[in-house]
Amino acid sequence: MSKESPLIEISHLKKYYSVSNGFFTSKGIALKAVDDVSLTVERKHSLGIVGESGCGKSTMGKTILRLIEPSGGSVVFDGQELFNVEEKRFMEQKKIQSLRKEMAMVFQDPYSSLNPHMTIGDAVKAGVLRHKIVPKEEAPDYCIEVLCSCGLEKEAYSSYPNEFSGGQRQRAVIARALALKPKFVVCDEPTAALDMSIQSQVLNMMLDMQEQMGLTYLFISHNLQVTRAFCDEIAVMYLGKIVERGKADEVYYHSAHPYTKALIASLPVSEPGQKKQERKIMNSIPSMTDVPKGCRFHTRCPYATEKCRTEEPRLKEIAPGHVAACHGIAG
Amino acid sequence: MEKILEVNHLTVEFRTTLGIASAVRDLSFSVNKGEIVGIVGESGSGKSVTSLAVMGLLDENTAHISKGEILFEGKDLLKLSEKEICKIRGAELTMVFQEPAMALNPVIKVEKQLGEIYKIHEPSKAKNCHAELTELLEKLRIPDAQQVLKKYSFELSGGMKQRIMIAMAMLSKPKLLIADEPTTALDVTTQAEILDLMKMMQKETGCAVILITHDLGVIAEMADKILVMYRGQLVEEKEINRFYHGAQHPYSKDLLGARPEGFDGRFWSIPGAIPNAYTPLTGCGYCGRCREALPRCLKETPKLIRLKEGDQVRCHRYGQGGGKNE
Repeated sequence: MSKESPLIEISHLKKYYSVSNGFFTSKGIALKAVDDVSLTVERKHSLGIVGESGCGKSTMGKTILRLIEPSGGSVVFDGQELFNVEEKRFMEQKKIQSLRKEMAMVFQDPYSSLNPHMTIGDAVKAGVLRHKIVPKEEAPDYCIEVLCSCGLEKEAYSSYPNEFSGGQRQRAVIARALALKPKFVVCDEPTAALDMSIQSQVLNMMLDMQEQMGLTYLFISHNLQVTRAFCDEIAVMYLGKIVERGKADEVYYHSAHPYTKALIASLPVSEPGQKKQERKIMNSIPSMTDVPKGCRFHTRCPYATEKCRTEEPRLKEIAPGHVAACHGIAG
Repeated sequence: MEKILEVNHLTVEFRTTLGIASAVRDLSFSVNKGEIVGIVGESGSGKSVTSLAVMGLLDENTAHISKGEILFEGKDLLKLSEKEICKIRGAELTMVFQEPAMALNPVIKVEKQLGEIYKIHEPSKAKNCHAELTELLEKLRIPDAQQVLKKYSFELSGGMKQRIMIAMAMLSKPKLLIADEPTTALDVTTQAEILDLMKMMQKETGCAVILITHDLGVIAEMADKILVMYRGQLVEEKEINRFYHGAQHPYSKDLLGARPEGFDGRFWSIPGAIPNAYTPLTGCGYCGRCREALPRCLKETPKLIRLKEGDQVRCHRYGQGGGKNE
């Protein structure tokens, strides 16, 4: 593919929170939820972000869309700069709101992301009218069409969320996002709350819609197996930083970073009696307010050396398009 | 093999304002001593209701056990008085729940919560159980066990809370442990640790386990036998290796296919959704979604067919006229 510019360019994105460390002290310590993340997402591709809970993946998704104010770095969406904190350039709210229709978000919990007092149709229609996707009188028909293409019945238009199962609700949430004809969709664990069989229905529908509409997905998940299958590329995140990134199969089958290896070794076996890889990860994820010095994974890493405890590793290319941040990797 | 639990023809209905919802329909199964039995099925297939029925924790105001018996070491739990059940529950029969954050009391310290088990079931030990509790937590690989005992549950991470739940369930050396989606709310790394711990504790105490999950990977790792439930019915019962290499019920095959390993451009999915519990069962419960449905599946409810070595399957494609034991 000769290069079109990527749809999303994220450079040195940071999101720090200040947390007070006592009842009476007002002085905060910085919680670095997203710490210097640079990523690009190519058009019509899917980038998967995986990591344990609390690694900052959801915060990152929201910060990219500027649903949360960033603390540093810049994001360029489709050639337009959303913000550049260092240069103090922020896109005006008005302009960003008109851009909202091109950048949608699907949240994890379909139970709390739909208003129980609003019919599904009204929920979908609200955005369609706000962004004038179709003329007002055509809006209901258009919404029904979108709902149907997301695998719901016509009747869904006038139903309330409580009449729906989890899978149907998530379809409605996705329909609401896709009705605006977005280019970019951030999906934050879209199927974590669903059963395996329903999960595959919803993911297939998302793949169909990607082909039809030329969507670009940022797919946030803690399920490596699903992410490998769904995405073109995977970025593994640990305590606010990307530790490995590359083509999905490359990361899954030839993982380089000890953390990625540990995540893969933790997956349940697919058949009884299958030998499990030895899982060498230790302890649990440290608190974000107390990020270890040097390599942040060294407290759990079985291969940690003195260098890891003092010096932070940078992302190094280990194969074309495959980078990892670990001192233990030659090159 | 000696049976520790035998459930016969269990039928549970919920009487609600919307009508009667059948959650469990004529379910029979048994668990041998020291055996790990996995129960799988989608949400709404009756897995959790079954486990609550065994524990005697169903809400009597809405749930109605209209038929059946639950024999625990030969005693019918359904015929015991609340007082008698209380003696068994929490001691010989324990449970680990899905959401440890909801199952632990946030205003009582961990030590007191664990100590309650002794207080109720072994009062003689209740006063000085500190050493024993510390030892148990250390065995569950909880760093700083002394400190953790002094904490409230909300100060602990999800994985730590689930370890406390397991400690609580194992404290009284139960004969049967029911684990209802014990790792669904946890990260893969924590899940792997918790499963290892459960295996270790099970080996050590030799207790039987009913493991409820919708993750076939977890079952593959843990169980000796699998029960597949759909719409409150048992549709397949199989020894674990035979299940993964030769599941027979179309629903079981679909569940195995729906694992993300089977991705080939699209995920294998089961069309439609499980009908709600108010829908009456006509014909085979799965016929609406089944890829192999026959005309008779719409009308006749298939019976459970016994296959060799204790396996069972509920499908018209097997048994007389069908491809028996294919």
